[in-house]
Amino acid sequence: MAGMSSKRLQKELAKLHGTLPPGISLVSAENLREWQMDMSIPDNPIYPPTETYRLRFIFSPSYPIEAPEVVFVQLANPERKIPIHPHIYTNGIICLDLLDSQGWSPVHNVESICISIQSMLAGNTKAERPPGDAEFVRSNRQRPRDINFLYHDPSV
Amino acid sequence: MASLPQRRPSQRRPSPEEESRASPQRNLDTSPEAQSTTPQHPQTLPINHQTPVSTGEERTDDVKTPAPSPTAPSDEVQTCWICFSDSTEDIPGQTSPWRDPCPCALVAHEACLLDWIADIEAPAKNSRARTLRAPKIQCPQCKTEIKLTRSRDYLVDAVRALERLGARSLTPAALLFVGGSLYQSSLLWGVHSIYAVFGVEDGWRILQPLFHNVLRAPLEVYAASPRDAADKLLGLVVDHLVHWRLYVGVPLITPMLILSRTHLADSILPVLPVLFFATQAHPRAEPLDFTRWPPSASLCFAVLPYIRQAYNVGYEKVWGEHIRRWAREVQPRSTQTATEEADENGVEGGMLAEAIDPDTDDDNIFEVRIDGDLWEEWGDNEEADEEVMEPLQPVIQPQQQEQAPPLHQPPLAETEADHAQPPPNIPDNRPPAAARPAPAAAQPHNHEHRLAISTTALAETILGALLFPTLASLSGSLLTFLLPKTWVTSLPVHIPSANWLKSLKGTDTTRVTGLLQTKWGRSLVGGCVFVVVKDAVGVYVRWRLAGMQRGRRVRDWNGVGGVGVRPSGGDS
Repeated sequence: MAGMSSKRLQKELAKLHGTLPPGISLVSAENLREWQMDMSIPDNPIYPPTETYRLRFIFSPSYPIEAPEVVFVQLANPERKIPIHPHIYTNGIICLDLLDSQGWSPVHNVESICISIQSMLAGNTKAERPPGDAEFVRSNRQRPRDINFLYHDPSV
Repeated sequence: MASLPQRRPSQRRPSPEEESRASPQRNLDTSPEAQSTTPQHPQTLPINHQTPVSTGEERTDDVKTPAPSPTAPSDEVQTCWICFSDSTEDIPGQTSPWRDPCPCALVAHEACLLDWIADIEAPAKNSRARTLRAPKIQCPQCKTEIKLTRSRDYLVDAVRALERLGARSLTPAALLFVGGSLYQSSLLWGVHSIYAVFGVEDGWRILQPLFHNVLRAPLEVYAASPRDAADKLLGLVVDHLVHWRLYVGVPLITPMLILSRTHLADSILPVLPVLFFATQAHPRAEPLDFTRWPPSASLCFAVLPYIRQAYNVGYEKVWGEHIRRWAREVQPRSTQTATEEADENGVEGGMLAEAIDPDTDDDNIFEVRIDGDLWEEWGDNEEADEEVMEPLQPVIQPQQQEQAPPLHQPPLAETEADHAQPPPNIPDNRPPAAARPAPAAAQPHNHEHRLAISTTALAETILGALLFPTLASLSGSLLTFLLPKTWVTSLPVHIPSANWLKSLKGTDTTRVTGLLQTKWGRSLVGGCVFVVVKDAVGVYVRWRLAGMQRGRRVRDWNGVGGVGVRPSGGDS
């Protein structure tokens, strides 16, 4: 039902052009497949306010039934890094139950995803990478939606 | 006209299923009214719009049951939480009706809901979410279960439930299959070993209760007559209970054979005879008689682990250092320094190293273990394991006293058959792997190389272990030919003599049997002799190899022709 996905995305886009929560801004949404948002984290010393992080959303034709793919991207110009978090791998893949088919429902939207990620980063106290990060980055070939994450760390 | 009540599609809850298909028509029906009365802004609703019923219970109705009371947001724009379009964008002929299936404020188009539900129930992406029952569909916000009306076909439900059950039981079934196969093959090989060591009559006597069950028809064949099936089942259970030692012990022979060849079970094996003695049943309430000769079969086999250990120690003490030296000599000198370092570090050849050398490093022990097979090539291992006793003894309860005269008291009365369970142990002696020349052994240092060699050596070890009972039996038979007839037959020949050797033959006592006159005794002795002879030959070969190695010289080219011919008369 590509029709449903484009209609819904158009509506969401309209909303995003309006007011957004602080720290979140829309960078580019030229088509209805890939959007980019910028995010900065208030009030957490691990993530200085000067650092902005770039999120890339990729929507499938069965959005919103199917979750979008959300990853952090690293850019040189403008400078964007991957935030340090026990659930974010160095290749930008985010381990969040919301983004997996188990935890996703169409009641969420791009804005709510951004808010969730922002709060996940804002409430983080451990400035470390996930265990097995290097191995994962080196050997992973799957798209994020195909990866079976084990969501077992409720503290972060 | 504004006075007309706004006939929204959501207020009409038509009855099941065909509803979504029929809804366009219904929309069409109401459309003239809707179009004429629907204001652009929801706020300008007609006066007699129905007040929302605030009670919650109405809203928990099934999606499709007709409800007399309207939903709360009947006078406001409804936004579908799935597609985000709201009721203002309804195209009366195309938009599917709105549904409010749960107490919270979420409403959605029916088509959107059905889409979403279909994705939950049959996730296209992964097979991970497979549960025994169909997954429950819950509203994402209030978690109330969303109920659907669909025709219940019990057959379809049953079949799908069975499919899910089948998918879940795949792994346990596979494991069961593999385990069962291993068990059966171990059992079969154990039977073979028992026959090899004990000979025909004794072997049959021991294994008889087993054979009946090995070849019986499976129970499902009796499904036609339930009484027969019940009888057979009962008989089977009782039989297993009575002869449990057979069912547990015989399959254990194979793994024990293999384990005995390594050092893995070294700590267990010496303990087993003690266990055996402790659990011994004495049918005649006699204490274990150590002074009687010939010793009962169970006693013999029980003692074997100790003999093995003693032999290991002795061998290592006498020959160990020599063998290592000879091995070093046949290796290229460049690796010899490495070997020397290894020796200094305590990585010693032979599995005895662990027993004898307490300062071996822990990681070295691990290496030695893995390469235990490697060292076997050097022959150090072989005698170590030759005499491992099959610790079946504690498992199978022998009838000691009755064992002694098995041969000429043919089949012990069947009443005693149960007690006369076999002196079980097949000597776990393993047939030595073919004596490979020491140079074939890899450097003890090279880890990867070592592991690579180990796999082939492992296979050889296992095969050798399995073949040992046969080899022992053959050696025993060889003894029959080589030794004087009086030693090995059971004819009562009475020659009074105080010679202890004659007691071996059993000819100087009133008993008419001796160790060598029983088939198992011959197998036992034959196995031991085999080990000793093999070790002796191995030692000799290594010694000669080392000696020959020292005497090698490279010859100069003396002939004519060849590439790059030197002028004849070249220097020597």
